[in-house]
Amino acid sequence: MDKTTIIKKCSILALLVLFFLPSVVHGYHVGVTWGPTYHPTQYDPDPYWFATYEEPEHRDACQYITNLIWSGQAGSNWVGNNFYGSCTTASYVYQCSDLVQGNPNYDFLATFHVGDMYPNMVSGGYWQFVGYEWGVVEYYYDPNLGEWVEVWGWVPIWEWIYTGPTRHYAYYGSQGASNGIEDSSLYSHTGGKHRFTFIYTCSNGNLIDIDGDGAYNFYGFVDTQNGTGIVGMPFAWTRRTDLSWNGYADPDNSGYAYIGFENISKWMCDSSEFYTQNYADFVEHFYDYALDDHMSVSDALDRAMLDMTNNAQNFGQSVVYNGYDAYDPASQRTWRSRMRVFGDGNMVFPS
Amino acid sequence: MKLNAHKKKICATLAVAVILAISLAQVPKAYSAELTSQEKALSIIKDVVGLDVTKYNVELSIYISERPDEYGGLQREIIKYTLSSEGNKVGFVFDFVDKTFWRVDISPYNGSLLSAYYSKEIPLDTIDATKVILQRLQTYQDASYIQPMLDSMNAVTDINSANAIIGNSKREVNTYTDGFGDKTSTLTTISFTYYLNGADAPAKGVSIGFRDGALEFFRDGWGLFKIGSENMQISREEAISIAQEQANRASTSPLNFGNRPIRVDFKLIPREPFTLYPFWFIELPLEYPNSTITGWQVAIWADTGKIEYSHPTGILGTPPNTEGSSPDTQPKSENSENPPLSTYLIAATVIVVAFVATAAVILKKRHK
Repeated sequence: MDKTTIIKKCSILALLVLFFLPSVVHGYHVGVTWGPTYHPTQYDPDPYWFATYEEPEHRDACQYITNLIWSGQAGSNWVGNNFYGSCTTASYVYQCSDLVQGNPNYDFLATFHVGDMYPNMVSGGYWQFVGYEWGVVEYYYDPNLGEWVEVWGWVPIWEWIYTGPTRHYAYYGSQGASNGIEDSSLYSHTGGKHRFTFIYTCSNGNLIDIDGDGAYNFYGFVDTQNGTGIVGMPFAWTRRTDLSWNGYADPDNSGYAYIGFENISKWMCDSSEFYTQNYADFVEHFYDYALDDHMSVSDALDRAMLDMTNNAQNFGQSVVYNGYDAYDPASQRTWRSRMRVFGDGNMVFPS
Repeated sequence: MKLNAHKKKICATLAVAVILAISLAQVPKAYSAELTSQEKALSIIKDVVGLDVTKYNVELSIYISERPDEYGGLQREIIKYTLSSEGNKVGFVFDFVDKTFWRVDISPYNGSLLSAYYSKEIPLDTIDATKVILQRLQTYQDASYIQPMLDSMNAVTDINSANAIIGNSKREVNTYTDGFGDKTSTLTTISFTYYLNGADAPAKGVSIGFRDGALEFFRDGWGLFKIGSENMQISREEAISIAQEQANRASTSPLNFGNRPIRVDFKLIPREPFTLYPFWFIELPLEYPNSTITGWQVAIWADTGKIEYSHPTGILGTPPNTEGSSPDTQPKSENSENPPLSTYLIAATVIVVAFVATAAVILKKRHK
């Protein structure tokens, strides 16, 4: 799909949202799903296998969740949109976020995104004043003289002091990193209505070791050292730094929940934990219980996991919660990984 | 002869009485057949968990009744009761299949079930608590298969060395400690799972879980699931060989399986509703350093050799500390512009204006 088609599609969707807003009544809940078709590596056999086996699971999961909303199963006050595909871009995620946040008719945003993360190293630093030098302070065209005139004076000298890189969190848009969703950019578009977020990518549920002392004590912070802004996707989506790190077993009753993966998330077609089902089925069952049956986030995770494991394990018993070793071909090592629930596992989706 | 005939009559009468007694013992209690699943759920809270429900405000929070395809037309009921009292709130989520108890998960919203109001206490010691729950569950379910599990627990003195194969069941203890910062908790589970020729059936079993000593769940799928086949057509070696063949078919060039170990799981898994069949799950590691591919998964029904699926697996991105490894991971400036953002915004604005203008022209024409 070329750029023009993408622009047209997104603009039409933007229009639909803009024209839809004035007609809705107060108290609508919004569910949106996102998933880029972009996949980062281009080495055989990855692109073909991804397109054949994995991509359909992403598309189906997004459609399944949206269908729960469209069919009215989530409740008559829900409106939803499936932006899977070319419309999954940073600009559109931010626009959608702004529209929900800025319109009083909407009170709740549930977001689901499936795709690939990318490590986003941002160079940090600051301008330091180092003195003055004699030079041109102004340069203008004098019509009377008919020529450009220089005004000389003392010019302040600023030097860029490079402090180092800060590792930010991000995930790809439909054209890769060029329109990827990034924590520091996203933050200014979120707010109090961003109540539930499920980011199915690697690493966007990580805890962070801010000062390099080996203690992973934060899921988000403001980078004051390098001045690169907001760090951490859970923080960027919820705008809160006080959420429980284990909203499943230790819910904080904050009314916010964010689900993401620490380190590696497996492909959705992966069946290793579920044998005859896969991770896409797990996500769909979770939304069934949460949206359709209005169970709390923790209860829905439990029921979905019991369904997946033939009654053997609830979420608290599962390797998804307790951790699994996943192999990363890039670093050629295994990473201890898990799904994290930040915030309020007791939260129930409104009906 | 007469005496013999008389003896025979007595024996026959006794035999009938014994058969009747045995068969009656197998029938669930008369009241349980008459109760609704909601009433049964409350009864389990009272009689198995042992809570004093009179001390709580009892609310039926969720009731769902459905007949999913994967249940083969049987009724599934999901019931959630929320019990609240001053300073204590706890939720019980039940599953019933065809009005038969299957599982309950308990989630305290605040505090712990240890500080709940009990009419029948649960011991703090995990071994004793397991015996008590099994005993109460057996009485409630009237299930003879629980007795051997209960008997086997009498020989257990250390919960950490309780793993054993007992007849056709596998007793297994698992401990999970979640490390989520300063608040950690430990879940201890004891399960009795149907076991056949090295394969266990997670679905056909009885299991109990305690989090930090408080009861968190118990399940009984032993009576609900049956074994569809004990036939073993495919051995472990054959399963691995089939998996390698399947994986190699997916690529024109030979695959690089690398040196990581092959994962082989042997389980009894439902193929039809509530009926279990032997099943091989094979994951072959794949080594493609510049890709996100990590392996190839193949599932084979061991009784027929039929392949359930054959597909690759991988990861969705690159974890920390590996940045810079692909062209998409180049450092970006904080202030770097995102070209599509402005492009789309301008395009959207232009289209809005165009739309309004067109609508105005049409309306004007119509007026004329």
